[in-house]
Amino acid sequence: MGSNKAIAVIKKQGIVIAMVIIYLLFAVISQQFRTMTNFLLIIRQITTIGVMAAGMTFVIIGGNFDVSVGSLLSLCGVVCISLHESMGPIPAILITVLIGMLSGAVSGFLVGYLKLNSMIVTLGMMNILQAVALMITRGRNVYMADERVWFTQIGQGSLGVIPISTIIMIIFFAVMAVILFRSKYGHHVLSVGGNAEACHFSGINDCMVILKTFVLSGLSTGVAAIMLASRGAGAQPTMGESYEFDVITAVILGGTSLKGGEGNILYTLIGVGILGILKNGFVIVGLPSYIQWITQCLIMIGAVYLDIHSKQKKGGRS
Amino acid sequence: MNVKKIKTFVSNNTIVPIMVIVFVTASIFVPGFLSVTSLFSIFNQNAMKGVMAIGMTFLILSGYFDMSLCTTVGFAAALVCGLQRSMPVFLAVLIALLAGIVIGILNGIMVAYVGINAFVVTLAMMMGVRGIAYVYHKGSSMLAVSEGFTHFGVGKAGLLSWISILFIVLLLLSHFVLAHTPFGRKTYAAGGNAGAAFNAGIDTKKIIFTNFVICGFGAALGGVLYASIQGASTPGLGWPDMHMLVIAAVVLGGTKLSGGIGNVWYTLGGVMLLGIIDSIMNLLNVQTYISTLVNGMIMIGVLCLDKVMMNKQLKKTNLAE
Repeated sequence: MGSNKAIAVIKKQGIVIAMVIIYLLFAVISQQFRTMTNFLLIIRQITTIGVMAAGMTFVIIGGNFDVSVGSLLSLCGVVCISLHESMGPIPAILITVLIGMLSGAVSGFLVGYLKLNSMIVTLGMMNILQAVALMITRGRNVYMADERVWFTQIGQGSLGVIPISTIIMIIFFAVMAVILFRSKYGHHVLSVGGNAEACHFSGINDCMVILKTFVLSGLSTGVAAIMLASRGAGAQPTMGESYEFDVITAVILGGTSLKGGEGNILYTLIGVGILGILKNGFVIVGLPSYIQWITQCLIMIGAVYLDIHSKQKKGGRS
Repeated sequence: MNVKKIKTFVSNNTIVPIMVIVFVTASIFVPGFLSVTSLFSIFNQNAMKGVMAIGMTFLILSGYFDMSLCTTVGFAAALVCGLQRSMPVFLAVLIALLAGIVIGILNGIMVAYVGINAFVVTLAMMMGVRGIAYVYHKGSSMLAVSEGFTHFGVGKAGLLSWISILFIVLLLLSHFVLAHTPFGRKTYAAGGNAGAAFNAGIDTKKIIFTNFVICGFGAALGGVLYASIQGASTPGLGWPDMHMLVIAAVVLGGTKLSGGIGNVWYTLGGVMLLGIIDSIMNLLNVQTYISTLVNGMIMIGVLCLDKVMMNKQLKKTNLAE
């Protein structure tokens, strides 16, 4: 009985164990990797993808994709820095988050109410947002004139030893987890993702639920952009390019079903952790980035394969 | 009667009125657009993308799509450029095409037989193939040394380039396969309703697997053609959004991502629509930023228009019943 329980725990927490194993593997190989400084660096590096993945989890649970987050990150980043220079930090932060939510609302309206395919809609949005980011900056990078302001502390500063951005990410995940598991809206997202039609007939406003998932994704991208821009004290108009793949990968690694209706936002955090450890580890060990891509490919397929395998077995027993 | 026929034709082929509107507007307002040479050059420029889009059409018709197309293109181009230094060109081309087929087989096995989500499989494959292509390139671009190979890419027979002729042949061939063979009908059936198709005795797994292989082959062929046009391959070729452009072209034409509805002529329309818009931007000397912006808006706009026309059609059929 005891060993059965242990096996069940291992199966359920497989992704957590995988993260620990990957971390230990790198720690054994490289002395530089296992230092405290590097650990703190990793948890600072993962914050951008982490916060974005929290919002993306909602979109994917709702049964859609959002591939526009990469471009949105670029746009929000350059807007944030430009406004910080002209209007000060507080308006910059507020307007950046607002732009994120607005962009999410547009894709959300198109997908939720007009029932258009989310892939193509957000692909179109990706082009539009990228173009706007390039037009605002005329293709140039934007920098802050003075880095000694409190705004840069969001990305660069630490509270004790823990980076402030990590604390923000953890609070963000806690709030999102409460929304997903403890609020009426969260239940609606899970059930609309599972069966939109049934929800429609049982009186849930499924269009609005989907729209809000995209708004959440936009909001989290806005927050991520503020942290990224603050860390670099500047922004490039294409800095978010291909971020969407990393974000979606993290959510998939976390076990969220791409069919919708199923997912745990806390496991998304583990997925983000795995991705962060891999990225950092490969750089420190000195392997070229293409080895990292191949590994990422194998881990992704492996994780989803194991997920399917365990579910099939469960289905067979019950 | 005739008006009614035209109406049903238009609502079945929403790409046609959209094309006509864009074409007429461009002819009136864009100087230099309406000439035989410029129209043929638009067709020639987009033939390569069309070849990839044909493969993707098969896959989308059966209800799936392939994100790994972008890096498969890069990998095939790398192979064909690298291998022709040490072996005859046709062998290099063959191996490059074979590589695309192998990638398609891997995708197909994992999606159809193992049952992993197609998005995950092809996204992972995209990463993996990108890595392999970089390993092969060793970080720098490669030149195509064979003269015959590069001549094929820029060569013309009259107004049409060789690649355009290849594209037309492939179009006719895939139209034949889709409309007049059991395999084509099974593809529509599997994409329209996989469960019903399975119950009717169709081996849906095999159909899906085959379509992944066709898509992989199309991607590799696109890569080979790209290398022959450019006379070189670069490690970043196709990354990060070639597959997105191809999927967008297929969907803009009117083929449904949910599968079962569409044909290769829609794809031709979608590819050419994007091509015409690109060339209008070029002729008007618009900044690249703005052309990206317009491209994005058009993708969403066409999708909205398609939806509106589809809904009308559905309402009509409902009333008729």
